[in-house]
Amino acid sequence: MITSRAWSPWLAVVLAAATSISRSPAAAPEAADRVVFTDITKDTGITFSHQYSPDKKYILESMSGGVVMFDFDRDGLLDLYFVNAPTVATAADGQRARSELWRNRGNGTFADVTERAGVGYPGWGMGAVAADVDNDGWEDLYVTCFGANRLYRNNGDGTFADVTGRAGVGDPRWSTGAAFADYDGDGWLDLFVANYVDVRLEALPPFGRGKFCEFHGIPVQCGPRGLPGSGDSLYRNKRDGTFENVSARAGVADPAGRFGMGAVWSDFNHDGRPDVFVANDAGPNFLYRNNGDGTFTDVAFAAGTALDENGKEQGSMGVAVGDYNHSGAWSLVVSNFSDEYNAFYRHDRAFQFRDVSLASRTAKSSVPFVGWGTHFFDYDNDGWLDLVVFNGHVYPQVERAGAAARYAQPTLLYHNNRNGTFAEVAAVSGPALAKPSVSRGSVAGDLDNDGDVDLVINNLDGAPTVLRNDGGNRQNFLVVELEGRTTNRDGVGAVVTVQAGDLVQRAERRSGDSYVSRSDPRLHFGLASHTKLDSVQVRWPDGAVQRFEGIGANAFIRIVEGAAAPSGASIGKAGR
Amino acid sequence: MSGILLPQNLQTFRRRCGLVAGMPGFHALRAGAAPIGMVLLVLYSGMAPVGARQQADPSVVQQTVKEGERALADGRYADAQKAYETLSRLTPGVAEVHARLGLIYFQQGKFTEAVPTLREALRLKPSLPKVDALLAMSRSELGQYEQALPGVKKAFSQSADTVLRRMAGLHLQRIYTGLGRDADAVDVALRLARFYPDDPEVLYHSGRLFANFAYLQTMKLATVAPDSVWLHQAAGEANESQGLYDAAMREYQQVIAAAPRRPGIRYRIGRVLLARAKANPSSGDLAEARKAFEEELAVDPTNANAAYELGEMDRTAGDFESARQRFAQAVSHYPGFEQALVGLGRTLVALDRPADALKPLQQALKANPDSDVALYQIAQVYRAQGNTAAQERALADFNRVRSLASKGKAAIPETKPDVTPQVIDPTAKK
Repeated sequence: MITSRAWSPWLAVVLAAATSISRSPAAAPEAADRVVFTDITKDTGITFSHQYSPDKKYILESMSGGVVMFDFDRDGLLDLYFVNAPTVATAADGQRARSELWRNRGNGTFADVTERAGVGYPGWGMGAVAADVDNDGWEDLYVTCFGANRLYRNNGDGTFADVTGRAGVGDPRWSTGAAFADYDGDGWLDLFVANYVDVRLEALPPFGRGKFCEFHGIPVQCGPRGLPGSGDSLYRNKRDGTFENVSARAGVADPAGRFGMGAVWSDFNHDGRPDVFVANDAGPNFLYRNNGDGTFTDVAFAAGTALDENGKEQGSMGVAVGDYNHSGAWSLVVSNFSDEYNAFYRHDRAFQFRDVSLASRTAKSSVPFVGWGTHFFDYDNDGWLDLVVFNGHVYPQVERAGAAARYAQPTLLYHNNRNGTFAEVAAVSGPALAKPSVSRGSVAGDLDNDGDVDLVINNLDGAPTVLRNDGGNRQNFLVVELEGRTTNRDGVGAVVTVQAGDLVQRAERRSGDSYVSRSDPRLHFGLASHTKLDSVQVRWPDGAVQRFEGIGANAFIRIVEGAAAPSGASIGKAGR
Repeated sequence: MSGILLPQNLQTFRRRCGLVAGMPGFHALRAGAAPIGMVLLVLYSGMAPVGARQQADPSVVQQTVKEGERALADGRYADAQKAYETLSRLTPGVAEVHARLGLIYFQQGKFTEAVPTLREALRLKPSLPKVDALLAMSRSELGQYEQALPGVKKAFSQSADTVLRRMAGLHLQRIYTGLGRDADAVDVALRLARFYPDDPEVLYHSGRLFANFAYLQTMKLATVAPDSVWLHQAAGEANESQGLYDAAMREYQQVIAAAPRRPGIRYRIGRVLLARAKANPSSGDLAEARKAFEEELAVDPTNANAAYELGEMDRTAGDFESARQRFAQAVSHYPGFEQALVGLGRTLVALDRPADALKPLQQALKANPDSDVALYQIAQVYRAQGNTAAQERALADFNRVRSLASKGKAAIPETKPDVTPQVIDPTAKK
């Protein structure tokens, strides 16, 4: 008799492990039931459309694009910049793809100001990030491209100037994620740029030919496996409008050429020096610890963020960072390829992470999807960070592969159960989230300044999606804007701690995360039913601490480094 | 009725598989056994030069020899054959000429001509080296297995020439198969695999032989017990291995109908449901799979695989305490169950019990020193314990194994595992 313990497969002729995949049934908490995300894209008047080729025969056509949420004109309203890219065919015809800047009119609609701003044609766009690189109070715009990247200096009058050449940040490779932080503590923002695959437009690997050009047995675009990767770049801000490429000296040049995607700066060990995490596609991730002497050490393997719980490298795309469990440590979520789970790395102590993807109940639901933009954000203002992941496959051909995966994929929204686990609640959070899309970069922020966090997604195959949060502001909130004076003007790297009763939350000001995107620069705190804060504390990057008491809830406040009191205004709770 | 193909009789099956002389594919052995130049080199070596004891006009003989050799050197076998046929008429008593002509016939697949020619060479000079082996292999090619057997057997067992021994071994394997002496064929296949472990043709023929052998046995099962639970189980497993899940389910259900308490079948049903759930996650198969594994344990509480699968389902659902109990149950019945040991270890890590996790993970490593998942989990244990030095050592071991695995993986295709392996990601991206 063949025993039940038999190991060897009898007459086995096929491969593929049979692991179970299913979306967990939504177990929506009562409070979460009341928050709905509504697709208001058409109402906004935004007509941006990302160029796309139906077949995606080349990897170049699958990875764009990012989106930036920033107040370029300082009118108090968040504007949107969508990155665009041509297809191989349209590029061969000499056509360009128009990236677009949309100004928030404050009435729910946006105006296309691309031409006047002069930011429409950065090149073969991938992602973008905004930061005030010259400390003049106006956020500038950096666009990553396949080909030379662009730095647009914000002139403060609605126009931008291309200062790439003078600044020396035009990395000519295929760049993806970019993020700003002041790694050397000189008060000026430096720039990290992740680079992806080393290919040339005129020598792209032919569709479906070769062992790295198949998916579940069907021909697809080639790469990134089988193609050479590109190293990464770190540019140090020289405070005179120029940057110095210090990648090699700093130890972050990635000479082996891993396939860099999302990048984010965060001070993981709270030593006042920002570290950088890089999500690498089809390879171990980087976690560079800032040594404080201008150099970095990759500690990803020792920290437990290089691989998944199986010791397996994943196809990583986007990154979310946040203190989801109120431990004071920044945990990481990395969105990954299909047949892999999104990796949830809980940060236990300085550079000691644990993969809690299964324990957090976020793993299984993510396996069928290719994840991109992702955010920790408190969508229902209950004071605990929730999680969202936007999905979409890279192969249109996947529809024919007979696998569970589909090309257009729904969004995953996880509600924080406040016990280390999450419940997937997209199905009860409005039809917009269930609608399959081919999403890429995404941003989170309070677009309508009504006290809850909205979402904007750049979709690869056409129009973007603007999702209005309806109901999140039924609970209280505080929004904090920072302005550095001795430290960098954006306050990037500052940590704000708010306390309301036993509810203690921390948030770090970052510039660049998710997938090749930049979210609301203001820090949003849900306060549940608390109407007043016991304290609001800011620790600036240089270590200086400011503490304020007696601030009321439902307010947008601005804290200027060194100022005696925050400025700002409270709003009522009449929002949607 | 079983889903297995049932030929009319075994001879039909052998013919279909090219095990009978004259069938396409059979002669591929000769052409594929070694490069032509290599065969010529091996078989010519040791033969005396042509030209001795000439009786015809020496100049004509010399000229013809020259033409024949040049044609051979150029690979023009038809011309070489013509020249040596002339020579055999001019010098009928020269054994080497017949030997060489026989070889030329052999090389061209003209075995009917090769046999009498080589036999004549041996008659004239029995001591001619390797000609007896060539004659035997020619007879083998003609399906004259009984006559071929002694010569081929001798060449395989006694020849010091590795190329000749390899050719003879492949012929011997086929001869035994053709004669229905399957056990002897298997023995030769195993010896060939030992002598030539990385030889693609040897691997191909031995793999084919074993597969055929298994097939024949199953056919016999179908003949002697067409309605038996064994046949339905075999058909179920065959269908399952080919991804024909609905057909597999039908066969397994027939087993249960005939033998409701038969152990192992509900486990297999659970595995089929797991596989089906992968293609259609919303089908409800996952819940049914859990039910099948639980039913299996009700029938056979010692089924470690069923306990393991339930543990893995619990683990991936984040129900770690339940998973721990299931893995422990599997390991209690099967202490060397590597996957269950890894599952138990990593579950204990998830339960914040790193000290307890170390033992099962180390046991898993004993079962499989190349278990990268176990090594990685051990590194996690040491990290959780704050033992940086041990963590670094474990990570170094992990990276070494991982590096070796990535080098070897391309050459060895994966087979379908009998339990869900300790990985979540079964496919490489892009």
